[in-house]
Amino acid sequence: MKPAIPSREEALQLARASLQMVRTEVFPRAERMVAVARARWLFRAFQMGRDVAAYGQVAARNDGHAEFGDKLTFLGGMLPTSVVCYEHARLLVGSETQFNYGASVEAWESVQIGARCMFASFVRVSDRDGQRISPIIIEDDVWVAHGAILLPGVRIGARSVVSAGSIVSQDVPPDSLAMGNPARSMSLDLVAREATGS
Amino acid sequence: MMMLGMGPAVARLKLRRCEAVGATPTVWGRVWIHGGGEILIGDRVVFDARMAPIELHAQRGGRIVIEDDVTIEGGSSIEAQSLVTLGARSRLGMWCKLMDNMYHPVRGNRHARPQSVPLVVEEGVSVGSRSILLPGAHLQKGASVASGTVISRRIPPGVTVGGSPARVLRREVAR
Amino acid sequence: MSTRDTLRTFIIDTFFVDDFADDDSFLRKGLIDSTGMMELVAFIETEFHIKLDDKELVPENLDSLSRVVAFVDRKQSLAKAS
Repeated sequence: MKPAIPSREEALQLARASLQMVRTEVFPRAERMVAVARARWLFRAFQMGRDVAAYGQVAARNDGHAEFGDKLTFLGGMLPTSVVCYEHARLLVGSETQFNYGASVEAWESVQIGARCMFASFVRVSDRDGQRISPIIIEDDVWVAHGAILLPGVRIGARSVVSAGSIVSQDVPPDSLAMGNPARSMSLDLVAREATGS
Repeated sequence: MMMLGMGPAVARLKLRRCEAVGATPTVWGRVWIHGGGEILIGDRVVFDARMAPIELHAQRGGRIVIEDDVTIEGGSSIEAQSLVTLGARSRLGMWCKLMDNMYHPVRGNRHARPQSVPLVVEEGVSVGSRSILLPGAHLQKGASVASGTVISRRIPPGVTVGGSPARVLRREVAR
Repeated sequence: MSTRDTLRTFIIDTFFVDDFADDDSFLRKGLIDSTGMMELVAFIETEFHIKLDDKELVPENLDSLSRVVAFVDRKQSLAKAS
């Protein structure tokens, strides 16, 4: 006959399993809720879609017209991310775009960012460089890797990748990889196999 | 703190999340250590994070090995999914980034994670500020990297590389 | 040195690849990665005094040694003609 009370091992196993569940299910959800609430407060001056989450520190300021899509993510880390939209400027960010820590987006006239883009740590996007102001357009599904700098007036085509540490001063066509200082773009076919990555 | 001879003790406290810390570590400022991997630190290592914090991130199954007499300046970040090694007497300048995984494939599903390639920095290497070492980078003994360089391949011993795309600036003839 | 030998020496010295065939795809054989490809482009430009347009950085021109050699020859004859 099986005893009604579980054995020591069973009890331990149960405790471990529930702890594990707390760690993998409860904590991330709680964290996300806190992040969403934070984002609501931080971006109170922004027009914003649903479920924008800010996990880390964000220095946000909007004196112009700034609009966010749904489900944006701002990750936390070593340094705060900064999102600034100055007077009479326009800043549009599409849905599901992610920003890693230390990224900085500055709009003096117009910066448009598409949906599902990824901005890695220390990426700088500014449409003013001290000499000129010229709008920046970043299309959908663009990945800007660590430490890249996008200069005023560039347009990054859909699905393109800006590689780490590049300084982009010219337009990048769709489906290409930009690299170097100043950045040059090459076809993604040259460096990555179809659909599998490199 | 330093004046009171408390430096190493404070440093040890700041590095408490590392698996091993050698003799007399020095830590100025904040070192952000996270992830479930292993971090091993040798003797007399200096973390100078007064200007900006330093990040050491070893994910589960990943390992960061920092050997003796290494100096790491502020703003640098080391991320390991498999293995990142910093050889003895090497130096990392400010805002360096070392990662052994690209995290996202260039094409296709951006949320699939590509394969890691271990990153090795050998003895006596100096890495200039704002340099980025990508997966597969292997800086051999005494190589040096000018600031702002991006590297993802082997650099032979004693060679100085710089620029973007990287090119050899100088080869040391006699060693 | 011929164009082919110059390029071959550069690729072997820079990317530490073992011997490879002229028709081996750089991408599929994993000989050169994306950063390496940029270095190769920079080398071609300085070594052969030609200017590559970003539109020309496609696999048809650069994915194997034989293609690169053919491409460089074509560019050089074009430069001479003009």
